[in-house]
Amino acid sequence: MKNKTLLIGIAGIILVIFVIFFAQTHNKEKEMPLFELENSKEMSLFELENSKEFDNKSLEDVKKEYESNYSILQKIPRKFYMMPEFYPNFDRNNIIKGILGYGAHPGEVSYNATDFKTGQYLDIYTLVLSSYGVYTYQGLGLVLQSSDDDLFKTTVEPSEILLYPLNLTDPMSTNWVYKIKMRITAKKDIPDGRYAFKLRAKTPSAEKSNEFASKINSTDIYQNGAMIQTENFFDFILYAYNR
Amino acid sequence: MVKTMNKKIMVLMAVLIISAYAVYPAAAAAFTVNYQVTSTTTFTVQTASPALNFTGNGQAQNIWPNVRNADNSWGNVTNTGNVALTFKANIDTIHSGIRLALSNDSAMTDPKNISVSPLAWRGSSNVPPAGKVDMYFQANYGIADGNYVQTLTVGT
Repeated sequence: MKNKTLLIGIAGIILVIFVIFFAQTHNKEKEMPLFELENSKEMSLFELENSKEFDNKSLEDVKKEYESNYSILQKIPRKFYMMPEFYPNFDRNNIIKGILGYGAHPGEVSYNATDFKTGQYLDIYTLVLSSYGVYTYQGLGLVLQSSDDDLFKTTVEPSEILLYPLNLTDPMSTNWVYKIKMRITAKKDIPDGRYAFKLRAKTPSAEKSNEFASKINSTDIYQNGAMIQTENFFDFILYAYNR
Repeated sequence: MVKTMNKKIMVLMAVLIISAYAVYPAAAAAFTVNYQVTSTTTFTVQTASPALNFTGNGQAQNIWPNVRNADNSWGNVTNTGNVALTFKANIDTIHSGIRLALSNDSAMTDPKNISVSPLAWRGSSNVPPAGKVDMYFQANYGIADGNYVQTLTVGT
């Protein structure tokens, strides 16, 4: 009787150890959002942008809402952010013609995050756009550089883009803006600190460059957009805290 | 008696398992967003030609535009965004025997040798909104032994 009880006890302890081990491993392997917006289910950009939320809103309404709440950027439909008037620095009467140029909006975002643990991730968004007066087609590779590669894994989607010139009479007709999603995943529990991430422009892969160049008319000009770039293209600052 | 023991053990195990999950809960997190939503980082490059094309072989050289005129820049970069920007330039590949330098004035003050790594040049740091920085290129063509003997300044 004693032996049986002892065996059951040992089995119980082994089970508990297994549960602890499983819980740890499970947490490390499964990526999960650091925080979630109203929709807990992960949705594609297409799904997010096609929600009914903005159906009856004007461009001005959306701009106002966005300026007071950056978090909605991921859900703002294309029909709004493809309008040059969406951008605060756009002035139809003051457009500089140029051969190359692009940027991001917003150009800087920062988060305070508490208890950013192994396997958790956060998604941040920005809009990468061709400068208003640029008349060439610009190929760009995009990469999000981390200040600590041991702590973070980063991905950018899409990571290679072809920026078309803005067609002022029909802004929806060309891909002159892309909504860029950047994911930062914690490889380890993140210690307290300030962590900087920089979106960098680079030359697209040779394969993509060829693909991009083949998409445009022979009379149009294709450029490697990364020939000139800005140090502060898009900066993301993470302030990490632990309770 | 045995049944009572089993029940006790089961209760004990349940407590232990629940405790284990309590020790390793699904991580809760909190966050706040600070942002400067009105910032835009666009810039616009204006040049005299679509590209900076040059070929060099020993002492033979051809550079576009093929005029030696140091008074005009090859191009300029304007900050068309609404925050101060620092511009950097780079080239896809380094051409053996050709050294390409960049400055913001025709005297080629403090020239920076352009390579595949993006590099700021004189006057290109912290350019304010609507500010502009010129780009003067100078190509130095070397002969086989690496002794640079020719200098061409790009101009229009």
